[in-house]
Amino acid sequence: MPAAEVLTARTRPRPRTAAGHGTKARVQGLLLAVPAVLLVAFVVVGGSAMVAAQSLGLMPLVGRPELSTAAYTAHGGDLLVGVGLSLAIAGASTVLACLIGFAAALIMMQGRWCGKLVAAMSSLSIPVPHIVGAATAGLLLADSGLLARVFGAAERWPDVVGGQWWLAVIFEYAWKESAFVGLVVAGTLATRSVDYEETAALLGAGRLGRLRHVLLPLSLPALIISGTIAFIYSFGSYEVAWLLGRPYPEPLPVMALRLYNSVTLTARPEAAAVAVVTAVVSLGAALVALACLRKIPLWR
Amino acid sequence: MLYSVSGGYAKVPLAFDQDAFDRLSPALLNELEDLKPSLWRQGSTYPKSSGELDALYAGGQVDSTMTYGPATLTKLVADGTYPATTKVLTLDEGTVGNASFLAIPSTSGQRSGAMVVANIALSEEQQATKADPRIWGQFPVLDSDALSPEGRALFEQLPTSPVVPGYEVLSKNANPELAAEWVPALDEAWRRQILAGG
Repeated sequence: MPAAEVLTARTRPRPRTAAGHGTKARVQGLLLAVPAVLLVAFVVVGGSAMVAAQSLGLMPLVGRPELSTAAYTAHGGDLLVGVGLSLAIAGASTVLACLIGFAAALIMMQGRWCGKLVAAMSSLSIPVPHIVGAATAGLLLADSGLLARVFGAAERWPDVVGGQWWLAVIFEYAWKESAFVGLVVAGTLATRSVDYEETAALLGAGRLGRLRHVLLPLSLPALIISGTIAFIYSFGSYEVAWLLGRPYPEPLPVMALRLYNSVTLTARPEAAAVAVVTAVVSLGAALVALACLRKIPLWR
Repeated sequence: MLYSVSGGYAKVPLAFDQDAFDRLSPALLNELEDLKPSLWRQGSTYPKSSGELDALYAGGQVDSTMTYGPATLTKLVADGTYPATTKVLTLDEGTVGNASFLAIPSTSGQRSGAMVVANIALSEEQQATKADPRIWGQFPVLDSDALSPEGRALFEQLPTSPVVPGYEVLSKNANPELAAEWVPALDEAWRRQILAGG
């Protein structure tokens, strides 16, 4: 394949600085990042440790601290169902966001007026908070929402909001995250793709060939990274699932907040347990993404 | 509803007790189960909050909603949020009625000051202002027979609503509210058997 050969040939040789200079620059870079990293680590590690301690019964609001896993088993079945539901919602919306986002990035790369339009639409939807997006999606897609009225669907309108398949929730995440994925991928492609594409085209690659052997490999790291961010965000975010979903079964963040706000003060460790499970699964997703990235020649 | 299926509020102890809960809740849950076919989406799911139920009512998805603040209905009907045919449903058995109350913490260092504030809150002027639907529209707690002529005049000046009946109609047969301990128990039973039961 000419395109693939060109790609590997061009990516491999990178100018390297002298070893000593490289280490110095590295240390300097690390030092510059230290204040921010320390601050974030304090909040994240401290917060996680506190939640973990709470979930293990070591920081009860009332009563004596006692090490136990009772909080994890108290809602055992619901917790597992919640993990499955959250994974399904986040997975489906991430796949959609990556497909739509990648397509949007390709259109943006064309540079014609429709590319500019898509880029403008994506940039406009980035600053919209998810809660506003969710409320808007609700007004648009609910049984008595705008679309149902425009089409005069009344009783025939499917249960998009609060329905069995969580469609409105997935739609909202897919819309917001596809804009994010699209802009990130377009940003990567903008700086790198033109040369490769032209070379590939000169060597006789058709549109599909260029997509498969040039654009997709070039975008893959950006796609994986932005997709992982989108996945972890939708896995752990509360408001969209709460506004557009149904009360049972519950995604993990909704369950965690309900237990946290429960009038029964002893439910706090159970809320913490749900939060710990959410964090562990998110961390797992990030590790899987890193493992995938390591397999990509472009990333190494 | 618990009062209704138990044969009146007198049959339900206000303070929570597990025996009473075990004895009385099955009838309530059966009734809720039987109601499912008549509910929104045949009871396969439920609105998550009273705000969501209100929105369903405003959108014409359900035929009734509930509120602790009937005074807000006049405006909601006037501005078209709720349909013009909205009516307040008063039940012969009565509905749960409660009043806002003020309490002084036993550890308060300013008991006399707090009592003065409580007295002002109980004054005829403040109660009439509180009952005014343009301001708050909450039930007054004063006995209308015990009002002074000036106080009575204040209450008589309150605007009447085409939607909401007067306080004497709304608070007729008011049922007392259960102790807070009942709430998590009823919540959990409803969640397990009705919501998750499918």
